[in-house]
Amino acid sequence: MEFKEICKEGIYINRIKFNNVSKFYGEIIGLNEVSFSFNKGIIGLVGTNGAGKSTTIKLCTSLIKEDIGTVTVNGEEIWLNYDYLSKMGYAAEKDRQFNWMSGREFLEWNGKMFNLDSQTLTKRIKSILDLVGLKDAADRKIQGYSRGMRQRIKIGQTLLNDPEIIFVDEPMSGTDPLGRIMIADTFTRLYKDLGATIVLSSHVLHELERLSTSLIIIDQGKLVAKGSSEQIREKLSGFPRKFRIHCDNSREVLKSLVDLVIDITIKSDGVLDITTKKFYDVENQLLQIQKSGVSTIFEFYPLDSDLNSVYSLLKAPIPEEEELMQ
Amino acid sequence: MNFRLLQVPQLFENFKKDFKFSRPVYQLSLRELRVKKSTWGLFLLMFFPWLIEMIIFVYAVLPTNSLINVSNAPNLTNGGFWRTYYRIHLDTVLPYFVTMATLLIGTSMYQDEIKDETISYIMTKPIKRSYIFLQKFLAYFKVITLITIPAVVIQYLTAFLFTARYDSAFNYSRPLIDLPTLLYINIFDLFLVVISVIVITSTLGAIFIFTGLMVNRPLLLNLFLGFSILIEQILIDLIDNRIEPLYLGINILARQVLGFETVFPNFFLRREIPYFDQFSSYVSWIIVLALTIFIGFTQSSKKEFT
Repeated sequence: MEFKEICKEGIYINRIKFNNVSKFYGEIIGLNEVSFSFNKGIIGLVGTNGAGKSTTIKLCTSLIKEDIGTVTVNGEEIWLNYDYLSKMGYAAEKDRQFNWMSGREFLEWNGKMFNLDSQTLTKRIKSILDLVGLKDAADRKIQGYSRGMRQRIKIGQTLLNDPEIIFVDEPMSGTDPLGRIMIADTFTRLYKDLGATIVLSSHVLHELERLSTSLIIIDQGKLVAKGSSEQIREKLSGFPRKFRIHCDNSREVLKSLVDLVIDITIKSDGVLDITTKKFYDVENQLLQIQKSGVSTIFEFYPLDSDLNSVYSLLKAPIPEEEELMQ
Repeated sequence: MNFRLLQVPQLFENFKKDFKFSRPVYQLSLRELRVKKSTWGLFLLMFFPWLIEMIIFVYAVLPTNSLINVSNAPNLTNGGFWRTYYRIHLDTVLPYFVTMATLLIGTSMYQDEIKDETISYIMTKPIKRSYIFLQKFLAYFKVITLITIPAVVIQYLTAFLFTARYDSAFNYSRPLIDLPTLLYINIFDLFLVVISVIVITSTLGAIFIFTGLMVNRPLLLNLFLGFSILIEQILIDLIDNRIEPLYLGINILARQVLGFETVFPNFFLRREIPYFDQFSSYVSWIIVLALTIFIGFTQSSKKEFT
């Protein structure tokens, strides 16, 4: 792979550790006495809106400083650690880029801020555009990009400095099921080919549970659960979960899913609510539907009540952190 | 002490290295300002008072010659139309526009990126935040100079050219002043005006950039800071019982804006104010500028981006 050829293997970042960390925004608690650590892998950070995911990521990217406790990388403080920042990539939650730039320019400016020489930068931009599938749209203004394309260019800029660790806040938000698969593939390739640690956040558990090697689940600023994705998945198996599907042909989608669901309701034209224990089968089926052109799947997401139930379930005791994260 | 002195070359080398490393922030900020419509809008707006007064001159003043009173023009700075046109421009109207440009561009240097959250693309890069402040200031400096100086110069030159036809100073039959002296005075005067605009816009801009970074909603604070000298003057006038509607509305409100009073009167009333005062006025502005940059440089890294 071309990208791999021009990048080095990472050796610097071994462990990021949160030690009894609290962060306050005035009277609002962002994080409340949270302790955990993670090593190499794809780390999924899951929680509802306002749970503390973004706070966690911002602490890891030196955008904010902890009020209590310590956030360290290999034992060194992260806040204003420029050595660490030179080996880190970050994509914020909101897909607001410099809209007046083209995708290529956006990558160029971000690369310049890592002080990359123009030859290396050109090579990396080329391989990144290939990797995120934006080669043809590279010279178009970001303003005209779809939400999925914006997500991908945002993820692309995290790779410019050959990072050892990448943080992406809500990478799947606003993308269609195919876009999600593409993004998930990108992360898997980055992890497997480059050995980069990837930290992803999402308010939708199912987006990350299959992709991640480890999961950290946060709710209301507190750590709810942490463990390998297998362990979390095992806990969730057999637990019926509710999802909503937006499509343009409810009848055909309903027909295809009928054997996989416990309950299915047509909420309105093009909107289906399903309850299933076979989430992965449903997801695969929806992909098949999309690919075969029977129906376009615009959105597929769990209902909030489902996520809260998952949290309740996960609050049960789980194995110690050290056992899970190594 | 000796040890510290030995460190100076090393510190300078580090400064040079970090400054060079942070250069893309300057380039990016310049580029951002260049693509913003508001920057171009402000550039054009600076010529607005000039345009209005040109229209007034052509349609009202020129035909009637009513404001030009040659016989009552004992010297250049107290001439008829010279005073009404040129002084109003530079001493009253223009400061409003210069202030607004300074305030809007200075405040936006960090605020726009904070608001649309693109700031994270800069702040998560391995560029020292002190140098980001410095580079943003330099980008601001270049843009504000390019926005304000052409308008200032064209207003000065227009005033000079238009009044030259009518002002007694150009009447060679009068022994008041000769042309070389007149040109010398005006070139020097223009030079001082340009320098003063640069000093003032830099100083206020540095303050506005810093508050734009450190304060969540800086516009109100910056409006207060920018116009505080005006408020102070109104209070003084209230105490002195000198407030009259017209006086308040036209003269004081405009002329006292931003402390232009501190510098500009020196150009027009230089016979009344000792030369030393003019110099000390510059020095005081430059000291404030240096202090603000120093505070911004040392304190900007403490800012968190929530």
